[in-house]
Amino acid sequence: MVSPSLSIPVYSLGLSQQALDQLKSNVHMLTEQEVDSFLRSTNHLLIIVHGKELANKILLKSKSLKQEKYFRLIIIDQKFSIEDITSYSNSGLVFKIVCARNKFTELDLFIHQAMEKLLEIQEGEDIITKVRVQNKVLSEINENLEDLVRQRTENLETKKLEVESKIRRIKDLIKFIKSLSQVNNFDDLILLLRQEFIKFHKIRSPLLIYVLGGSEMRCISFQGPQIIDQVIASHDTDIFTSDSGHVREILANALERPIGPLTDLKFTFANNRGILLFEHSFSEEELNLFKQILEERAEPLRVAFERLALKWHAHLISRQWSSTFDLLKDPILIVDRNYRVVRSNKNFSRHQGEQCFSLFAGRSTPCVGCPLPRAVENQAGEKGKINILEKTFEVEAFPIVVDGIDESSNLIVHYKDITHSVNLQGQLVQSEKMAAIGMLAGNIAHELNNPLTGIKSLTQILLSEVPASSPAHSDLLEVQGAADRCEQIIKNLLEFSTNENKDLVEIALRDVVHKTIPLVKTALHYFNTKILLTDVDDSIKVDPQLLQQVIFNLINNACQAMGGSGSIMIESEASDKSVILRIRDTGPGVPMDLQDEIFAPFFTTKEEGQGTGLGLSVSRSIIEKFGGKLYLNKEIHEGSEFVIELPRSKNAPTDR
Amino acid sequence: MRLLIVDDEPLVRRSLERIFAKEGFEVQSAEDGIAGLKMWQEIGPDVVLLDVLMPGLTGPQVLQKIYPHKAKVILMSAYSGEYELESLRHLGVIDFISKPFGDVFEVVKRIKERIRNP
Repeated sequence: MVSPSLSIPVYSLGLSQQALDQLKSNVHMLTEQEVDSFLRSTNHLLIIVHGKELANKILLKSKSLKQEKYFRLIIIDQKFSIEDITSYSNSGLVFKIVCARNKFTELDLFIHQAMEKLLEIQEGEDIITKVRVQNKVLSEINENLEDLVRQRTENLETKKLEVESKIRRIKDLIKFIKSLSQVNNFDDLILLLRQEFIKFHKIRSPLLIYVLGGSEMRCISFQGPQIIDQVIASHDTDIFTSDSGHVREILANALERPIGPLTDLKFTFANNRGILLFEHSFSEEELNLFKQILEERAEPLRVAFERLALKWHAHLISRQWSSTFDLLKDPILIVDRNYRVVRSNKNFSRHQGEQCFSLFAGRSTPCVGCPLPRAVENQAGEKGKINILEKTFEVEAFPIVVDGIDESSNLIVHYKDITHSVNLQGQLVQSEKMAAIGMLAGNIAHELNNPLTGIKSLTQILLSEVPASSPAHSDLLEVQGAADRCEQIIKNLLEFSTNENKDLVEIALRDVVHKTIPLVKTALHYFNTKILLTDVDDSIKVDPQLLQQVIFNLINNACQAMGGSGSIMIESEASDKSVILRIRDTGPGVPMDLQDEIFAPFFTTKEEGQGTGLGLSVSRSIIEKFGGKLYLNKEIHEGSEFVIELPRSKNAPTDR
Repeated sequence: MRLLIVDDEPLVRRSLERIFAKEGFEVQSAEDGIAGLKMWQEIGPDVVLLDVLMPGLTGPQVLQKIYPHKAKVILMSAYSGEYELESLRHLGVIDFISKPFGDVFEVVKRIKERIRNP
């Protein structure tokens, strides 16, 4: 049980000190004046009132107090009516009524009971109060939490929107950069920019002004859908550094229209300058947003500008190089290892095809003497000589070495026409050779003529002494004939080597042939020889000895080409204007590759020591000296046929 | 009539010896310039057939050494026109015959004629 003295204060009103002294309980005495303030107490208290009148006053007074009442009354009097009891009971403030006069024996008990009751109420109220307070706290916490959640949700929503917008912008930016990387020229760039910023209705189509290297200042703009690329007649490069006011002025002059407010993006790369301009009617806020988007694209745009500037320079350099190469007279080209032409200058292509030999020489196989295979094998520059028709080229092939790659795949090939110098050299060598031959021939002539004089003279003497019927006589005649031939050969050799310009004489071709055949009788001995000479007049004007030398050469060549066996056909014909001699053999023929080369000085297919290579070139020059032609008949595919064509003598009858 | 043949080619000497002996000349021969000079000095020939290019001494060198002499000299050479006949006339040269001879009998005829009318 709770001790009443500990928590609930007890007061008395109207009780004598004597009566209070009888009580065990701790009771404080109140005066009537003090009562008012106690009635307003917000703590529980118990007041013992002696006398109904006092009690009624208190109850009446309390009615006017508009607050919770925490006091409770024990009313002591001698007598209580039913109305009193009902009234007290209804008030809810009267704990007990005690009927007594002077003795308050049970009052302590009542006080104690009342205190217990009040304590219970107080505890209940305390609990309720606590519960209320806690509820209030809880509801506050709840409210705070709800606020927090709401705020968080709102934040998240905002953040989500921000992130989405950021992603969208990044996606747009990536798309823009991708498109930018495919831009190949400034026109493409400006088109892309117009497309990119088309959603901003308050800007006009963009403009780009640029100067590349030392070239003129250009402006790319739009006229409707059309792109206009024009030179701006201003060398005022301040445009790339000054404020928009000055830029507006220059633009207005260039485009011949007033220019609105501008926002720009400037590019500088080495000695290249550019400025991208947007004419707009933005508010300040809109302009800031636009600038932000433009700023995001600034770096990729700078990179693109650099790339296009580099490309322009590379193109310029490439154009300079290609025009330089085209200006060169010598054919120059780049080929791969398989002779396929990668690039070439203007003077290279003469025929159709993919490979250098078909394009340049009209051949189906690589040129004889081409240095390309050696250059590929040795990975070093190589030289070679090739003959195409009547021309000789010195060919140099250089592998293109790229750092870090061991073997080059392409080569530079340079052709130099050395026909003239080769001819000069050939002539020089030939004249030197002829001089040497001349000296040699002089010595040989002397050395041979001496014994030949003895042989001839002795033969003639013996012939005069031996009877004509004797077999020795015919033998001696043979010796004499051979000695005569030797004498003639020596004479020819002297004439040939001294290159004397003798007067040409008129003679029948058949006579020259008939005179020559005996000189090659030994060589012809191994072959089936067929001689078909025309019956009609075949007079020509030549030096017979020299023509004999040529025919001798051609027959000798034919014999050597055939090796062991075969046939030789010597055939002549005469037309109104010319006389033709054909010497055909059944040898292996002249390979296609060599057909143009065989007439070059010092060309030979013979083993060393078998020929000087002067034969065909000298023969040709002899025939040309007579106004004729010496050539290989290219239409013959089995064996070979050399043709001598000489002008028919003017004195010869024209009818056949 | 004494005839000296100076030539380094044996067949030439042999054929000329034979043909001129037949014609009644007293023929002797030498195989080079030095032997020729020696023999010329020994026999004092009337006629000398002298080759131009020979080992030892050339024909003109022999002439320079032997001069003055009484012989009628006929030069022979495979190098036609090698020497101007006129420039050697004062050394006793009366004719020049180029080698090889066309017809040896014609040559003999010509030489005999030149000896008679130098």
